Amino acid sequence: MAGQAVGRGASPWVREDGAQHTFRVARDAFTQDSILSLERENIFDRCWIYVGHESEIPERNDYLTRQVAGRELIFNRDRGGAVHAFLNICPHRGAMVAREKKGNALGFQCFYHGWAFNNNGRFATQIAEGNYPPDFNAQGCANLTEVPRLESHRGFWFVNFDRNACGLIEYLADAAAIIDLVADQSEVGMEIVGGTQEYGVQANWKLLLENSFDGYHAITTHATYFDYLANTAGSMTQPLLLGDNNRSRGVDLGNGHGMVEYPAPWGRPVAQWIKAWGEDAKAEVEAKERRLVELFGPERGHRMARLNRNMVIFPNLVINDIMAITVRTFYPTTPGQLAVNAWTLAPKNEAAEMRRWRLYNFLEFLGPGGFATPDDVEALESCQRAYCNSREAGWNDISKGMMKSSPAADDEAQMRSFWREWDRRLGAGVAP
Amino acid sequence: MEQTVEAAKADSWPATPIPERMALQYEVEQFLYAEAALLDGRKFRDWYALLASDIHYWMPIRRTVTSDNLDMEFTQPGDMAYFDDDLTILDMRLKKQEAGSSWAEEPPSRSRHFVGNVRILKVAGDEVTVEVAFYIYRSRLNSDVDTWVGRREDVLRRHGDSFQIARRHIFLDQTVIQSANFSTFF
Repeated sequence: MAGQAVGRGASPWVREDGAQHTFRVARDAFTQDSILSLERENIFDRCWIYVGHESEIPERNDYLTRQVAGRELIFNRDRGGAVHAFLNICPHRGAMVAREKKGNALGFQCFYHGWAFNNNGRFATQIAEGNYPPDFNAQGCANLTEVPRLESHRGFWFVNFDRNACGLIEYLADAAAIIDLVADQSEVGMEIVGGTQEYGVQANWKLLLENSFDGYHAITTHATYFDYLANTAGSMTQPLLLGDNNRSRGVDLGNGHGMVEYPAPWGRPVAQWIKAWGEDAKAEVEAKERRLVELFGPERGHRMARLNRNMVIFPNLVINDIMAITVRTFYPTTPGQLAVNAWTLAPKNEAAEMRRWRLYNFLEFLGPGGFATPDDVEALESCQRAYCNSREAGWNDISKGMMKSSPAADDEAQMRSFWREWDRRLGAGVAP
Repeated sequence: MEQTVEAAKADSWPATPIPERMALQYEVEQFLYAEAALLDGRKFRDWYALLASDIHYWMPIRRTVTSDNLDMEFTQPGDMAYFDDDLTILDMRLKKQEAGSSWAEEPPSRSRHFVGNVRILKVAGDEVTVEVAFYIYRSRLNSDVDTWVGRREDVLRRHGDSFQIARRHIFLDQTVIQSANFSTFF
């Protein structure tokens, strides 16, 4: 990999030509171990990485364990209710102090030599006199290690392994306001509906990232899903308008974040009614939309109710506010493999019938058993497999819509904003 | 959700005379083998005809918990799941495959369903609750191989001289799904 030329237009991996309106990404960026090393060092160790939602640990002493950016973490609430993220490793000899997925406990105990910790991370074992000096833990060497930075926005908690990183809100840039459009859908708060879908994909992580806000592939890859909607009475309100420049758009949200926004062709529990849900649900969904308008004004209220947003927060958080809300994060295990965690988010006070439709919508479209995700995964794995041809056919094209002043949701502007930031961060690692 | 040994004992079925139990066991096993053959033979519409109109086809999410938290091991109805289907969705799944643009099954995969450890847990009226262990092998394209192992709890309902499947609850022996998709029926 030729790494000496760095900067716009001279990157070895991203070639943007404003005059020719072309944007190309090297396929080697999806396959090389050296690239993944650079990504770990310059992206995953320095950016704000999503760890979990506050509703997943609602009570004092709740905890869960999770792999985040290549680490094993404990995400928990202590006895006072404060939120923590610890590295899941015993300060003594390094065994994991929690090996289960979730629970509620006053503390953690390593089973190897029995070191115990309060759930605020403090060492809690009484050591017999004479084995260690009395001030052994004065510097905290026997406490659990907390992640260097932990901050939240509207219930979404993020960690950062770079102590000197900018604050979360500054990092989120315009994406913070899009998170607000999700968080404001309930006056009593949003919650992750019990359970995490966890699955592996044999593809580079950036392929799933691109796919998560790619409006262009919808009609071809998901032909059967749209056939399904069209053939299920009362499931669609209008055609999919991804290519309509007046009603849909692809947006750069700053710092590599981006989204597409477009009118929902399907029902949205918040808040676009479809006939399939029946007349009883109609009054409720319409009341929900009126309430949003009352709280936030007509423009923002209708936007929250009727527009879909597929958003990627750099580098690996997807919040898709579509027929249900999916929160999805993923991390590369090798250049050709990624691990996915996916959840669905819903209003806490949602009526049982709407919750049922929401889950129905989610499972119908998303996850390994959904109508769409298997086809997406098939495409991603197909790309990854074919990147073995990259010596002779080395470049992906991401130029769609470059000539437009206002790109639509089926253009690729939002992906270009990701790649520019990716390239900038990797270039920073190569430059002297 | 998990049929307990106690519940099975409370039922009169285990006290039924052996010849009668053997006959039903045989009937149930032959039905399950024939059903598996339909899936592996890609006769999906024939398989669909075996489903009752009120079928609940459900696969909850499983996660690693400590032994004192085993009640949290599986997600519950109303929580997240991998499948939570009624007959309409199962019909749409078939229509999706039949469309020829269901890319995870085009070209189609090759599967083999092994059904074993067949235990009749309960007989109530015209319904038989059956627990089976399953092992499913699937190969796709040139060399992609997936296997799924787990436990199924089926409710088979008398239908003429055969059965219909009125419930299929699928409990995988995996927490993180290792396969690219679940485009195969369980």
